[in-house]
Amino acid sequence: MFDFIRCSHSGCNEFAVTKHTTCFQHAENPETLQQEVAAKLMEKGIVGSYCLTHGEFSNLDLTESSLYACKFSHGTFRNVDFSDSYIQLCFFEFSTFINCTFNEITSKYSVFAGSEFKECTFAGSDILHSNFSGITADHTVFDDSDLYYTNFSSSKLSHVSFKDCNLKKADFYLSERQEVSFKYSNFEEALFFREN
Amino acid sequence: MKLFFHFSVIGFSNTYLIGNNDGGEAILVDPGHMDLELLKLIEYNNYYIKYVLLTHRHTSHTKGLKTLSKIYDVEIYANSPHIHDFPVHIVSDDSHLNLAGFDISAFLIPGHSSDSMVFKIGDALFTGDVLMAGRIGSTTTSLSRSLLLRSIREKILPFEENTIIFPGHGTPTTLGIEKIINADLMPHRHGSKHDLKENNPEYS
Repeated sequence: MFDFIRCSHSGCNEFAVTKHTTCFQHAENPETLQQEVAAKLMEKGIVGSYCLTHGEFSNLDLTESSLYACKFSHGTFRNVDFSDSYIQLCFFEFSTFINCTFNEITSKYSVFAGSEFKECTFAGSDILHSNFSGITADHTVFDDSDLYYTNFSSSKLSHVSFKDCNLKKADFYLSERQEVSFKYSNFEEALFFREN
Repeated sequence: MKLFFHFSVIGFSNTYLIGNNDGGEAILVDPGHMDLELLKLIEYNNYYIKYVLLTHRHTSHTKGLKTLSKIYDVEIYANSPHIHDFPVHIVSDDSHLNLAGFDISAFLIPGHSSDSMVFKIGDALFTGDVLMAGRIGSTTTSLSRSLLLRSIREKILPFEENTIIFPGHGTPTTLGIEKIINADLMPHRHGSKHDLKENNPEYS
C-alpha cells in the first residue's frame, strides 16, 4: 500500500516522488529525476509503493517488471514495453500511452481510468478487476485476454479488438464503440446496460 | 500501512485486510466470505484480526463473520445493531475510531441500505456499496436514490481528488476519476434498458 507523502511545494496537493520532497512538476531538476526513475524501473526488480505522477517515459524496456502499489498517474508513455510484467494495485489514471506493449501481462486491481491508448497491445494478458473506465482507445488490441470483472464503462473505443477474450462481468456500460470486435468472446456475459 | 485485497466469488465482493508493516493487530473490512486464501493472507503476514469494519449488513459483506469469529476474537464495528446475532460496536455518522493504530473516520451514507457506512483511513476510502467505479449503489426507490446521491455529494465528493476508493464490488478507483467519469453522478447522462439496441453488440 502507498506510504506517499505530499509535495512540499506550497499549495501543491500532488504526492511527492518517492524518496524526494517534491512532485515531478516541482522538482529542481526534472530531467535527472526522470532518468533516475527510469533507471530504477529498468532494474526489473520488484518495485513497490513507488510514486511519480506527470512523468514522461519513452523507449523503455520494462518487460518482466513487478509493480506493486505504484502511482504513475497523469504520465506519458511512448514506446514502452511492459510485456510479461506483473502489475498490482497500480494507478496509471489520466495517462497517455502511445505505441506501448502490454503483451502477456498480469494486471490486478490496477487503474488506467481516463487514459488514452493509441496503437497499444494487451494481447494474451490476464487483466483482472482492473479499471479502464473512461478510457479513449484507438487501434488497440486486447485479443486472447482474460478481462474478468474489468471495467470499460464510459470508454470511447475505436478500432479496438477483443477477440477470443473472457468478458465475464466485464463492464461496457455507456461505452462508445466504433469498429470494435468481440469475435469468439463471451460478450453475453459482459454488462452493456443496467436496469437501475 | 499495508492493504491487501481479497475477492470473494460468493457475492463477488471485496474484502480488505489492513495492517501495519510489521504484522500484529489488523482490520478486516467486509468479510463476505472466509476461506483458506484469506486465512493464508492474514497468517503469512503475521496478522491477528482484532477488528472488523462493516460497510453494511448485506450478506455478501458479512457472511464470513461466522467462520472468522471461530478463528479470531474479533470486535465488530457497524452502524446496524443486528449482524447475524454478533455483538456490534455501533458506529454513528461523522464519528472517529482508532483501531490497530489507524485513525478512522466514519460516515453514514444511507440509500443503498439504511446502515451504509463509508470508512476513511488516510487517503483510502472504503465505500462498500455506496460508490463504486462508474456507478453508485443500487437502490429500491427513487427517494433512496436521491438520498444516496445527496449524501455522496455532501460527504464524499468534498474529499481530495487523490483519495483512493476501495469499493465493496468491482475495481478500485479514485475520487478524481469518479467526479469526471461516473455516469450516475451526472444527471444529464442516463443509461437504461432503452440503450439496449445501441449498446449491445448483438445488435451491431
